Amino acid sequence: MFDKDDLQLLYRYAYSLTCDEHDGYDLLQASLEKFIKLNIEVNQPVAYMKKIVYNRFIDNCRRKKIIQFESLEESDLPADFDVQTLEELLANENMAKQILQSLEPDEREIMYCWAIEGFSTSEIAIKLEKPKGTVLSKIYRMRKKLIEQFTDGSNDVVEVEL
Amino acid sequence: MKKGNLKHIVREHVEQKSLSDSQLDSLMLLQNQKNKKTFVQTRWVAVAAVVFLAISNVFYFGLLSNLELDQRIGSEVAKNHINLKPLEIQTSSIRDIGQFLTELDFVPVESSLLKDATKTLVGGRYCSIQGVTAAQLRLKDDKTGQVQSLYQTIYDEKTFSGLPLLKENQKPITVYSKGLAVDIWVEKGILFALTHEADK
Repeated sequence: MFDKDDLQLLYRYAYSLTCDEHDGYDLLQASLEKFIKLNIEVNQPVAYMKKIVYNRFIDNCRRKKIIQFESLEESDLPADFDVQTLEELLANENMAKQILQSLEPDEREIMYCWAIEGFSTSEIAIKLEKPKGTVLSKIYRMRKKLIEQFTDGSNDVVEVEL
Repeated sequence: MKKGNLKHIVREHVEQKSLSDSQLDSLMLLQNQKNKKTFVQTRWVAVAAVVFLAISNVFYFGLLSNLELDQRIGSEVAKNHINLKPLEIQTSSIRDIGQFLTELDFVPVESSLLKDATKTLVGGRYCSIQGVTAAQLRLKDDKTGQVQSLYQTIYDEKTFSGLPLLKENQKPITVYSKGLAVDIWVEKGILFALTHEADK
């Protein structure tokens, strides 16, 4: 089962998805109950739990109908685009929560993989079991959105009234 | 307002989040309770499975193995009867047969079940039942003319355990093989097997 460190890590993951402390805890608790109920042996329980957390989160979003389905066309994607381009963005320290809240559920997971776990684009694609091109498209769209919503035209993500 | 790298700011923000002690305790308790419940359930399932298997074995290997023995004897007896190999001695006297078949470890005897039957002893020969030396007696029904085989061998409790004992008021068991019926019983320390038509 999970020790306290594992639970803290999973809670942060749940928080990254929900952007809310209480929702994150509820999500983790419900996922933990499901994991226990499954009563199975897995090689990487934390990774498995993350999948449960994410799937449950997506289910919740679907129930609340808060997922927006976007096309994954890559035509406007620069050839040299990569997740590292997100690092060029600067943000005010108190804006992290607002930034996370502005992202779509799947974008939040990408943000978590990139910012918290430090994954590269390829690693994110493997972890999310999605084509690298799809992940790149999402990152590109996410970056564009952040710049549009939070910048004054430069790469600086500045505080704006939401 | 102080600015920073987006990655750094998001990571710092998320890593500041942590479960409170009460939340942690609650989640740990949830795991422990479920673990105990699962352990108890698993243990009871295991105990139930062992009991079930034990009972199944008693019935299956106890009763069914006896049924299989009956069937095996019936099948062997029916096969030998159909072959109707030549008699080694032709006589209507059971005593003569006993004296002729000197290799037997027992003395062929009349069964109480056949005392009143209208059957005439025709003769006998050596044979075996389940690897044990036996006598094959041939009978002829006086009324119908039907030829029957009566097998006799020494009753060994280990080899033939579970077969009906007349002294304990158990009735012969009838098994069917190759279109014949075979009555099997134990009497006077001898195992008997008598063939007859299946529909009689």
